[in-house]
Amino acid sequence: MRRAYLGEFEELVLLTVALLNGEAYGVSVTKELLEKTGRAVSISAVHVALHRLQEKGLVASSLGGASAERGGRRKRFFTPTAYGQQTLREIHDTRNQLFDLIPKTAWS
Amino acid sequence: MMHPHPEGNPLPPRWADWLLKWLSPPELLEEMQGDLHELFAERVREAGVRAARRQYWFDVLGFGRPYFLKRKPNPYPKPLHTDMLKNYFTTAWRNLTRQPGYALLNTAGLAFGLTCFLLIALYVVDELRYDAFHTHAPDLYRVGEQKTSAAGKETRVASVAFNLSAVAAPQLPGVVSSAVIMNMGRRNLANQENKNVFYVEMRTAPQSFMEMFDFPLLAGDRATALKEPFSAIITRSMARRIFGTDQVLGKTLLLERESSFRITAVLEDVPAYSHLQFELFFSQATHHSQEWFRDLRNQDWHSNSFLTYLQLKPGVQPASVASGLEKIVDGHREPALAAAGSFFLQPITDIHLRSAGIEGAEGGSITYVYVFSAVALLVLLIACLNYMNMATARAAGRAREVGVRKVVGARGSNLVTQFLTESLLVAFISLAVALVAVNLALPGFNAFTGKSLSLHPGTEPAIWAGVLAATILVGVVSGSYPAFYLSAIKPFRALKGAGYAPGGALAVRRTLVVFQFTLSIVMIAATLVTYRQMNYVRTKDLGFNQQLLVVVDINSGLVRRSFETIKNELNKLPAVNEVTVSSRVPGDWKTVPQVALRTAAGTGETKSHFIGADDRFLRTYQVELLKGRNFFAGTSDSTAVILNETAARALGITEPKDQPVDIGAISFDGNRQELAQPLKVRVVGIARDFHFQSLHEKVAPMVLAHRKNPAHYIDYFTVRLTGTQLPGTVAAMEEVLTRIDPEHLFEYHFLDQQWARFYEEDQRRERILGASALAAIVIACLGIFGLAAYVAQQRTKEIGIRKVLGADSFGIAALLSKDFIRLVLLANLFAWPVAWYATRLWLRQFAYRIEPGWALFVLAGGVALGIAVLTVGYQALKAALANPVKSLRSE
Repeated sequence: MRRAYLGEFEELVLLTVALLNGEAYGVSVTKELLEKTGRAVSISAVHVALHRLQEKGLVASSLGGASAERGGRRKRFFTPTAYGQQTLREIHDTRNQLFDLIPKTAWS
Repeated sequence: MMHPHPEGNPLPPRWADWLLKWLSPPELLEEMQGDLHELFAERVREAGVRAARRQYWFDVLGFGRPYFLKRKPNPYPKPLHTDMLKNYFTTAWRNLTRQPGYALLNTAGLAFGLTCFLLIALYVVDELRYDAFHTHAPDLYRVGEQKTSAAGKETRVASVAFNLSAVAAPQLPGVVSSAVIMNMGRRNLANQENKNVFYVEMRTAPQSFMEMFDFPLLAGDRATALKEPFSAIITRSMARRIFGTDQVLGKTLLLERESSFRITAVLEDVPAYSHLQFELFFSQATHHSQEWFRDLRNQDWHSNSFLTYLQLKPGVQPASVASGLEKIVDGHREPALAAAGSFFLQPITDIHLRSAGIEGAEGGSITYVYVFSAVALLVLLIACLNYMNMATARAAGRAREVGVRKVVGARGSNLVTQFLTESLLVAFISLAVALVAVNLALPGFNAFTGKSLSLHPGTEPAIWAGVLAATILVGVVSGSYPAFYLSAIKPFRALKGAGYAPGGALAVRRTLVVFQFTLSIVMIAATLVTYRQMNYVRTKDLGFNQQLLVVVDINSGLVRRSFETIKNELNKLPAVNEVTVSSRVPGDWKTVPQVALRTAAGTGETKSHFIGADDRFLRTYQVELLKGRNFFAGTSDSTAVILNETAARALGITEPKDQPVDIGAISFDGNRQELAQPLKVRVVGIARDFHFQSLHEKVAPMVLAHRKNPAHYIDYFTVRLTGTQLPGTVAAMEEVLTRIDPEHLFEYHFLDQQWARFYEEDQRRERILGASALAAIVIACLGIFGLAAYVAQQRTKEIGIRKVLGADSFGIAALLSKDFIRLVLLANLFAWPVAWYATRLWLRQFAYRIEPGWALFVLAGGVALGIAVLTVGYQALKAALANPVKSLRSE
């Protein structure tokens, strides 16, 4: 398929964005990643990943949700595009396929 | 976009935020910064402020990734305002052509300043680059010796013993090569072909001389020119003088007391900016086989007779070489002598300007180079200040234009660029005028300074680069203040009505005028003081009569022995009044030797100068004999001496009563030689002090001994003329001498002319100072001329009303001038202390000087005031005489 190459970290971020269902922005993705996978990533790495995903067309973003805590600055919310969702499903399927093909004897 | 945080909440570190702003792309900044602030707030709750702040820094630094940095666009896309430049030029040009008087004044001021600056700059550059044209110049040094006499006086001489050059290169690792110049005295030189005889100085140089220095060759081989004995190198003009052509390679020269020399190289004339001037050099190899030369090599470690140059390896410290030489030489000297002398190496590029303390040194002085540079910069500064003054004064006229430009969208920086363009334009136009002026002035300037300066398309690019840089600097500096001043115009007020100008300028303008006039007054005062001092020096009673004295050199032994006959013959000439012989004469370019005097009663030595003379000396020079008696005629009185007042005082002698005095040693040029037998003399007379050196020096003790003394033989005839029938007399004198010795070279000079040469440099400086003062005040006056015109124009209506109400023209003129006159008076106040201090410093170099009285400074101030009054008064009067009907008519 004409799928763009997706790094392991970017894949995780994409999953998290989909998971957060419209509430995904820098801080929330970072926290979610820490919670769900135990990985403590820097906020900047997450930002980079999010913007790369956007560049590849896998997510879309919009601004909104300013708060006093943020000094009145808005958040950039990310949501998966259709293409992004498709990509996720493909990855999921591919992984499962390969997993299922592992012979039972390999499991010791 | 930035709302303040709720009170009481801690903020993330500001510097980190600033860094974040700097690192990140603008369009992503908001969300990134917001996220960071959110995290910060959380961490404050969890871990406290300090941990939160620390973490914040880490987070921010994390954003310094290529991903973000690469994407950062140019935050302020600033297209180069090349389009606007055309407009600026057009506007500038229009401004100049629409107000030609003002434009002319400004251009004239700047052009004048630039002209003075360029002339002085050319002079200074020339002075500074003496001897820099040799390739090895950074490594070439002249060896000098610093000696401390028994009395503690230090002298520095620029020639040393012969063997320094012989051992320097072989024994010291830092020395590449050495060259010693030997002066063999004056000889007759003949050209074999046509028997023209010339009296030249015979100087020899080794082959290393050709390699160390880069005097350009016209013909011949540099590598071998001075290698062979009996070869010679000659300069182009000397060749032309002797042979009539400069194609003389291989020709023969016949030298008196030597055999013939072959010309192995022809050189270009030595440029003016080489301290070493010569027309002929003979090869030193000629004398290598001779016994006296070998003796020198073996024995001479003491003298100060040889000009020695060394070439060092690059990077070697001259001081280490000097001490190395000292060690070697001290090993060959007696301990007493060794301790008293030390060597120093002088870079050749320093010789011209920094040889001030060295005996026998000629050349310029670095102090004056500094002074003239300062003067040049000051004059230029005054011109720039003028421009500034005029431009800001006329601001009201430009206010509307600036207002419109600002409304249409010009930023401060645009306006600054515009006005700088204007001032640069004026600066370059002034440069064009200045270049013409400089070229017109150069012939006269060259004659005055004795240089050959030039500024034309062929002059070195480095100098042109400097000229350009100076012009640009002038343009930028002049335009800087007006540019900022004008761009501060508020558009609203500017467009509302006429006559608006931003405030605060009046004080600045006044300060500028005061500053200009202070400088001018200081320079005028300095000129006046210099003039007075030079006058004093010229007319001061020297203690002898320097008029109508002709000094004839004694150049041969025959003449010396036959001096009695010559004296008699000379006395027979109708135009001759008196004739005397002496070992030295006042004003001599050769230094008068010093002796050590010791009285029977006194302890220790007194240093005194020494002249051996005959019984006619006092009469010829018209020196007054105060006490005692003159010498007797003949040789019977040979142990008698006459002291001058200073010497008598130093020895404690008030009445000459044949007191015995011992003369133990005599030193020529700082080279002390103990006399085998101390000369025992008696004091028979005391003469009035007379100046035998320039008035830069105080009168020193002088002992006038009889000519028949073993220390120093006679060297000069001095003839006092009656003052009539001058032209034929010199020829007759020459004839007398040549009758005795046909081969004798007749050298003579007039004592007063020679004396005047002492002050040549001072006079030159006086003139330069005077010219600069004139320049300064001219420019300052141009300035207030323009200002006064402008002020008068502004007050046209007021003047008209005053006239209608009955004021008389003079009253009005006075009213207009009052302000300026007050400023000039204030300038006086500042100028006087500065001038007084500066002139005192200069006067200190003269042992005999005037005391600049109050009157001098008041005069300087008065001159400035007078000129200012004339300048301003003209404008004021012109305005005051205007027809009030006309001035009140315009609406």
